[in-house]
Amino acid sequence: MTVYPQENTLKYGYDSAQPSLGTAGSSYDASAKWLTVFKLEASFRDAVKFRQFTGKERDAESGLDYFGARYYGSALGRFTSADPKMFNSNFLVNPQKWNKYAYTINNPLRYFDPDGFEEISVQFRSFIQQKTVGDPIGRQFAGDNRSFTSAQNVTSRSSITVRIETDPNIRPGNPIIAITQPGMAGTTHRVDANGNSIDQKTATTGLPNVTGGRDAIGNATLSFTQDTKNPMEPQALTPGISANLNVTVGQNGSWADIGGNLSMSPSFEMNFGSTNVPLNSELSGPAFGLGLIAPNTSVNQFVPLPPAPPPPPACANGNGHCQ
Amino acid sequence: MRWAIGVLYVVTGLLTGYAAVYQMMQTVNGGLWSWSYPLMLGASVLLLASGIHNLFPRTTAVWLALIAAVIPIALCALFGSMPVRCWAFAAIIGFVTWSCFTFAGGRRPGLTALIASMALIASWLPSSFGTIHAYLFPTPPAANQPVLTPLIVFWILLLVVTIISGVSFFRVPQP
Repeated sequence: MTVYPQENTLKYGYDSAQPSLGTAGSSYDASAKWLTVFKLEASFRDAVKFRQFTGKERDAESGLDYFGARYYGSALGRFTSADPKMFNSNFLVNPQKWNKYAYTINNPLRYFDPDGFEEISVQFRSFIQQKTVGDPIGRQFAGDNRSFTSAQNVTSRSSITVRIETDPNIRPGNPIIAITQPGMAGTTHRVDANGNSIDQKTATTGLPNVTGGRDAIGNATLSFTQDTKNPMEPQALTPGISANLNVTVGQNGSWADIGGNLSMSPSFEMNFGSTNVPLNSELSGPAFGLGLIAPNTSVNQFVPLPPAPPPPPACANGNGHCQ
Repeated sequence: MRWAIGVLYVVTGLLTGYAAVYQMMQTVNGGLWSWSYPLMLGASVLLLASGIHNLFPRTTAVWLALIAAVIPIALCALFGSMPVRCWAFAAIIGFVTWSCFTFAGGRRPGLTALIASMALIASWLPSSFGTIHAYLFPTPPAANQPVLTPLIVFWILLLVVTIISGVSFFRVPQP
């Protein structure tokens, strides 16, 4: 995170309407939008006087940023002590993780480490694979026109993201640190024959929700519920995008079990994100028939990190101070 | 007995009719469309009319046809839209209902319900196969399991209605 002085104040160098960790002038990296967990935009200008790197408090004497578990030396670009988390199997797939002093595996544009420990973000989304869908009367609505993905620059019918601490020694009880992306339903667009939006409405009831807890041995448990309906249709006749999912995430954040019920349409996916594990789990696609689908899925595979976002272009004015 | 059969027909017609609309509406969530849905709805309305005829035997074919035609129009009104397809569907349902009760219903009281139940069975087959297919071959591959209970309930109702209407149809002597 780079802060640029200007006009006796401090501005952070990205578009607050599309926040990311990119510097000024960088193109909007939608993948980083997932990292809007920091919530810096609203009060950043005041808080930045006391909080420095990613909003953490800076010790005036040592110049180090306090991350809860460790101190970060912004001059060094490294933590001053090793990550106290034990080495686990996750690290094997990502050599960057072997550096126990690096901040978010040297990829601060994409990842965020709020306290120096490992955390997991769990994102539950529903989406319509088609470009447009219709009702029996013949009205057309916009779909999401995509397949399963962990990318963040995509639309969804509903989405909720929760950030949890998997280690019960660090955060006993409720593992939920924050619901980093409030439960929301994608606005429904009614479209004409050419696919142009002619009306829109956003659901206000049945939005996704999540609660957290721990099982007997300390694994994090999450319960996702929702019953979101197309707000432009008669509610009594409209099947909801419904879910009642229970997710258990291992204490080391290396595996997850998913069980529960999902409506047979649309498509559902669950994304797991941490500093070393971005992972998409396809829960179900649309099925033809009546009833619910009960996914009973184990997520214990790990994939390499996605490519890092492109470096930001140089500032236009050439003096290093971005507007 | 006639009253009980009428109630059974009405209840089955309402439940299957609601299920038909429900499955039709899955398309707004990206669910797949099937032409078995309109057939399912039409057959449900026909069974409902047959139930009304069992409960109120003096009801004429014209009135039963009107009742049948009003149902899809009322559904369209709930959606706030009255496209041509809605009027066409109502006209077809009304005509089929009138035809069944005018040409066969008087002499063979079980015929209309039998036709409706057979059409319901035919229209439920694709949904049933789809549900069972999702049960056996889930996408993505996982231990997915659809809830089969609603399907079993509907099939029990359909088979009971088919048996009762069939017995009623074949029991009446030929003129």
